[in-house]
Amino acid sequence: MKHRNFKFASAAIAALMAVALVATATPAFAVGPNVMNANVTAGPAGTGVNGVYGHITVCVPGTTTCQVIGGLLIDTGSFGLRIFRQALTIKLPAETSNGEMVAECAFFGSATAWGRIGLADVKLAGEPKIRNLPVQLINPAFPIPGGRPGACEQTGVPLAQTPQQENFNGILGVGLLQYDGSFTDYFACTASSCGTIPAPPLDQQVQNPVPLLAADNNGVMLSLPLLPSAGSPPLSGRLVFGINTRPNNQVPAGFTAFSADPANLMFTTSFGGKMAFDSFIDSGSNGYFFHDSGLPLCTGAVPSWYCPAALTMLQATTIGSDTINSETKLLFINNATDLFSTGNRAFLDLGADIGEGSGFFDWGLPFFFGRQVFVGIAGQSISGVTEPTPLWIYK
Amino acid sequence: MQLAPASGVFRIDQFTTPAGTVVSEYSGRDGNVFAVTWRGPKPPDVSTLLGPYYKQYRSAANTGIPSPFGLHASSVAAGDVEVETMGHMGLMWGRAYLRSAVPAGIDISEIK
Repeated sequence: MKHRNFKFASAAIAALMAVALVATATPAFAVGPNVMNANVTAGPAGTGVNGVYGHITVCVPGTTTCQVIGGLLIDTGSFGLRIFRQALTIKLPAETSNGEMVAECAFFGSATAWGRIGLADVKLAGEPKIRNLPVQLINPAFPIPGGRPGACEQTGVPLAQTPQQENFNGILGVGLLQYDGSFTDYFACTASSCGTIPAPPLDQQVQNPVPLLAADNNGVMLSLPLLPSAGSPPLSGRLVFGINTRPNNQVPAGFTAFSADPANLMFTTSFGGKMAFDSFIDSGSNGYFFHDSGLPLCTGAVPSWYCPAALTMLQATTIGSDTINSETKLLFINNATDLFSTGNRAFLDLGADIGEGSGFFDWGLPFFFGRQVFVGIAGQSISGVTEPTPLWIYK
Repeated sequence: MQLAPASGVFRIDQFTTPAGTVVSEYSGRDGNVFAVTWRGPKPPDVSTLLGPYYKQYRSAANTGIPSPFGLHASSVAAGDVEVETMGHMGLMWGRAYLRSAVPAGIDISEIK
């Protein structure tokens, strides 16, 4: 199968984009206790593009000592709440194991997050408080400067050091799984050093908070507004908790469920005549990341980003890991140098040739503009949806 | 496990870490390893894989320069050493190579 690489004048593409996307444009957002603003901004460091952030309230368990924390990257590519120690003004009690503090090393494509586990009462939007949620407190200097275990250094990925460097105050991981223990390393620490331990019991692991909600616990829907091809200044969309649990989170007619492999949470994307068997939908990636040897790369300060001469329309087919459902989607790639020069912060047509050797096809944040994407969490059931979780649902 | 590409220019030795991550070591006809890749649930111990080049890489990686690609992809160049990583929580991929040691005739895209 050969993919087609259309190159038209921008006006023609804009018309095509409108046709392609108007059918999936988000209806007026219903408000409710299960709705959190999802803001696409420059981030806490003021330097980013296509970062989507939310805010939550964290409290010392059982008290009214609370703090509202914003600048949390809303991430469908991970699970668990992680907050930089530097961004916290309240002191959360430590989770312990045999009298020692539990800590963990969590791996991301661009960062390794190290720090102890704290316990917090957490409030997401207007949902009832989640009690005693294990939260990772990212802190490179834990338990003391230089006391970090070597095993968390040697991962080949830079250490997450400060909110300014990472451009987030924390990560709100609301992806396809509940518990993080299969993909992170746990440690037990004294006041000065740490040793490796097996992952603690499930309820003590850092985890996606959504399954702990009273009713809206089977997943989330993230939706961002449609944009012009030159992008937009900071804007707001919505992160909605629950799928088919309330009038405001119903899966619309015509949407399709795509299963993810329960072992590695990937599905398949067919692009350019090749199958990317490891493909994912990730709000924590700020562009579409895939390899297309036919698209020119930028030169100068922004290598790896795509820089076609004109706005370019591509198509790729997403295929559930169970191969039952497949659908072809359009994606648009614009000249990244031109996009960045606008000073805009939200782009639906930004892409990069990054991780080419991985064979991954990463449907990053641009996929969410003008679209509702539902994320169904493993082990949860969704009323009216027959496919088993974990899955994505979209049109 | 050993694999050989059609070109015969390099050899791939594979092993699996206790976490289940498959590591591939690429070596040239002289037997020297010039690249490693990994794919699996957790990254491997890169300090062992990079050997003497690890320190150089680590200091470049920890300069505090933000990744331009968000949370799930990065690319760090430290002199002759190049390390790329990508993935979501569930499956991670990485590639590290010594630019000057890649044998003539090998395209980087063959290292995956």
